[in-house]
Amino acid sequence: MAYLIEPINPRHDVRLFTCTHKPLESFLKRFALGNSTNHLGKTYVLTQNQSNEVLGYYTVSAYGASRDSMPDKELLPRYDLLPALLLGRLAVRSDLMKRGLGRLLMGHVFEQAWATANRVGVYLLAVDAKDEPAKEFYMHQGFAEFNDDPLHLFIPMTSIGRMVAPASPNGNNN
Amino acid sequence: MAAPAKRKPLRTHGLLVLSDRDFAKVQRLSRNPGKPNPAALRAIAAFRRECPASYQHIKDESAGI
Repeated sequence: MAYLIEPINPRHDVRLFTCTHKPLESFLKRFALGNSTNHLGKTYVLTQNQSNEVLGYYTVSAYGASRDSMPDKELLPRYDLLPALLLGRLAVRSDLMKRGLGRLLMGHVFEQAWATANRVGVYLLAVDAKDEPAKEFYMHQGFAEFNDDPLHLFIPMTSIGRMVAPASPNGNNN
Repeated sequence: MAAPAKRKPLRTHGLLVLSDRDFAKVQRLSRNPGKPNPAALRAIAAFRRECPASYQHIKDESAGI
């Protein structure tokens, strides 16, 4: 059966969602819908078609990455803040881990980030990994460290474009 | 008296005015962000395969449909 990833709405059932990292569980149950409504951060939920039960989710918001916190900053445009997206949270229901659902969410993150970057300026995608295993997951997906915090990671939008839309040298086939 | 050295025109990247050296660096970084990450490529492929309706939705939105 196919999966669906879409913005959270009141019909989604989050009651059965459990997560080993409790703040990720309570965020989904208490704040995700309200924050999405108030444009504080958009939450996208993973369900199976024909079901409203949430199996995983991620949250994304606008962000400004300090140029000083980035490696090789002399190679970067000379803005103090670089326009970015922040992947705030990403979680899969604890009993469904190790089944590739996090990978589906990451695929959606990359596609959505690239689509957004083609409408407004977005130079990079950042993430705050909550711990070392989470950091490993993101590093495995091509993220690199900022200079300011070993758990603060980023991937340039040019890298995402090359993967999502490899038709042209800049990854921009729009 | 020797003629003043002719100044080279400044290059631009978006709204930035860059020296030739910085312009070349930014161009290099933008054009060559590195080899695509295999795990990320697999994530994108898995998403497209297993979430076809969501992928179509993103494509339609990008196309302004």
